[in-house]
Amino acid sequence: MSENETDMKKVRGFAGIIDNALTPLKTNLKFQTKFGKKSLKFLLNANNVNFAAIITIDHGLLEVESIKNKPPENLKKKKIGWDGYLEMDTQTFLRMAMNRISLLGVAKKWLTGNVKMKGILKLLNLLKMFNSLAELD
Amino acid sequence: MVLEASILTEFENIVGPENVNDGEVITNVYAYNWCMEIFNYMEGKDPIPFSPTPKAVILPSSTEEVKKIVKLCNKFNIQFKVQSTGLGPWNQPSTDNSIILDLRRMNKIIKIDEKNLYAVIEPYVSGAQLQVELMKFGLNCHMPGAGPQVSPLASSTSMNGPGFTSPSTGHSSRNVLGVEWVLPDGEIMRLGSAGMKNNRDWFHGDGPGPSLRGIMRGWAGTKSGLGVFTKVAVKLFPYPCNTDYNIKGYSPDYDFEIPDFIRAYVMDCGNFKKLESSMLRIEEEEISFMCSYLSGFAVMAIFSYSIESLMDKMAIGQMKAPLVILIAARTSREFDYKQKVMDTLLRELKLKNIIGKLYTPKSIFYAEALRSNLGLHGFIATGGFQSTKGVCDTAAVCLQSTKLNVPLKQKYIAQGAIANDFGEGTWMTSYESGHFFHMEAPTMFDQTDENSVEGMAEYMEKANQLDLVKHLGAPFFVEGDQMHDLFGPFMLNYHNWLRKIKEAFDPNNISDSGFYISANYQKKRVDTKL
Repeated sequence: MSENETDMKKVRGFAGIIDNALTPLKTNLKFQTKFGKKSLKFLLNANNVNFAAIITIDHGLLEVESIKNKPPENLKKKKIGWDGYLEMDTQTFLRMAMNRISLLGVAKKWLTGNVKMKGILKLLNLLKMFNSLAELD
Repeated sequence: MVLEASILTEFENIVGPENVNDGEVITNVYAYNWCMEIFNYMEGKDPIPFSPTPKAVILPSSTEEVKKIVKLCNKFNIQFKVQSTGLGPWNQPSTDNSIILDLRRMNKIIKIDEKNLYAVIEPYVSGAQLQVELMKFGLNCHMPGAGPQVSPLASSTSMNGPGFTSPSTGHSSRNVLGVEWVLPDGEIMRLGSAGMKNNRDWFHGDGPGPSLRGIMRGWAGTKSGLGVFTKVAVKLFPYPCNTDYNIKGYSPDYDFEIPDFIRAYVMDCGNFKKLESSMLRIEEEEISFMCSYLSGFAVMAIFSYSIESLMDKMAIGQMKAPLVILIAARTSREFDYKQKVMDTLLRELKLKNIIGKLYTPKSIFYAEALRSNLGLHGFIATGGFQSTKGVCDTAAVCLQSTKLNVPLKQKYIAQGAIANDFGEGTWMTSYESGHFFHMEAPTMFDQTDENSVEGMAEYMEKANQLDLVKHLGAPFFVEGDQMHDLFGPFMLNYHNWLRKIKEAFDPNNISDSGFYISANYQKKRVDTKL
């Protein structure tokens, strides 16, 4: 792979954090079994920073890519083909990822417009995925 | 304000002209210190990281020179502020009428008595320097949470002193033995066995006659408010494992050859009630080298070497009440025993060790744990860091203090003044195998942002008030007249006694009392912004 190709593959900003956070799952057998039959794509957008994360689960294989979140057209379902979309600020995301906010808390933020979600049922898989980080062994 | 030329000459005559400087550049550099901006703000001054500029900086090389300088200060009514390794605002002059005594030339390890387990050191010997020499004898010293770069003499005589290895190495106030002390009037006093007429040695800190250790330092030290400490004997401990300390690579990606008999445990107790009972139970077995409760965010920090690597440990951050234990041994038999005890305890307490499963620390973690270097990770997130609280009490009181601090801290997080650790940011350690406990609330802020500094200062003040109102013990930073006057009436009026001590030992008020107490302080209303 050339240097440029490596650069292009580099997962940037917020997406890099997500990628690092999910790295332990990539080689985890339990995760691969649990998500072995699933093929899903999520778009996770932190609206106070520049890069969104595309999380792809393909039959137990996990991949994270970054995409610039401006212009908004970059994030369209038509362009990316996501199954679930989640948008919030980084602080709320941090609380969610570190299990410091309940589902009710997220729902409240959704009702007040601080969290945007599309494809809610599919997004539950994303939540399960973050929760399974704490159950690795 | 500089010294008169004739006075400067007298100081030069003591230490040599090359060891005195009253130039604008040097004196202004000495006016800077970490966190000075917070203390300035709390006193109603501008939140800048500078103290009053010292009139001059003087570098003595011996006790005799220190004695002469102090006598000269008394003669000309000039205050002095003393620094050893000089970390933090406690090293800064509080008035314009002050010189700084920088003790960096007094940097010798005088003696290591490997048989009787003590070392005698001068002020500018760092914890790391001392430890390296001790390791040659298979020995170790206590180092405070501030890190291995600071002076064990300063910690033993003049400051507080909890450390990450406190379960096995105690607290600085408990490890100080014989002391050589230049009193504020220039007389030399030697405490304990160092003061005996015949067969003088350093092995003991008390007597003959009543102990003066309480006056010398008490719990938190006088921060240069009661003279100069020129030599101290500190208690030593067996090094916890083999002393090979091989490091390769470059900062921050060092690779450490992990000693054979050392093992880390990180377990989520889930809630404070279980955390308390688990800490007490584990410490009862007297096997841990380290035993700390760290908030989820703080555990992420001790395993991280950059912001990027901090954020990829969110899974660790999911833990609600993490307990970090390090066991170490010198022989395989000792190690087997300790591991068996830990295994039994984990089963009994229904705890799961995440190390090697959810997370495997980099090898450098073990080097830092052995060298008491974990506190510095507090700076990673924002570059600015300070602790509030600082109580020493039972595990229950420490955890109550932790719990009550969360909503207060969250208020300042919501304002954007301090970094978001969910308000939980805490470090709590056992002392001496659970004999007593310490907690403090490390807080990250931005030293370059005025709003952050103001918010941090306000939060520190409110945290102190919370301790007072809720009876959570005395925090670290009860220092200076205002704070002693605030806490004294609730604590048997100790401040009145402290003033009497100051008056008796320092009748001319020459030893800078900015972080101690002054004899003739008139209670006055200071207009602060708080």
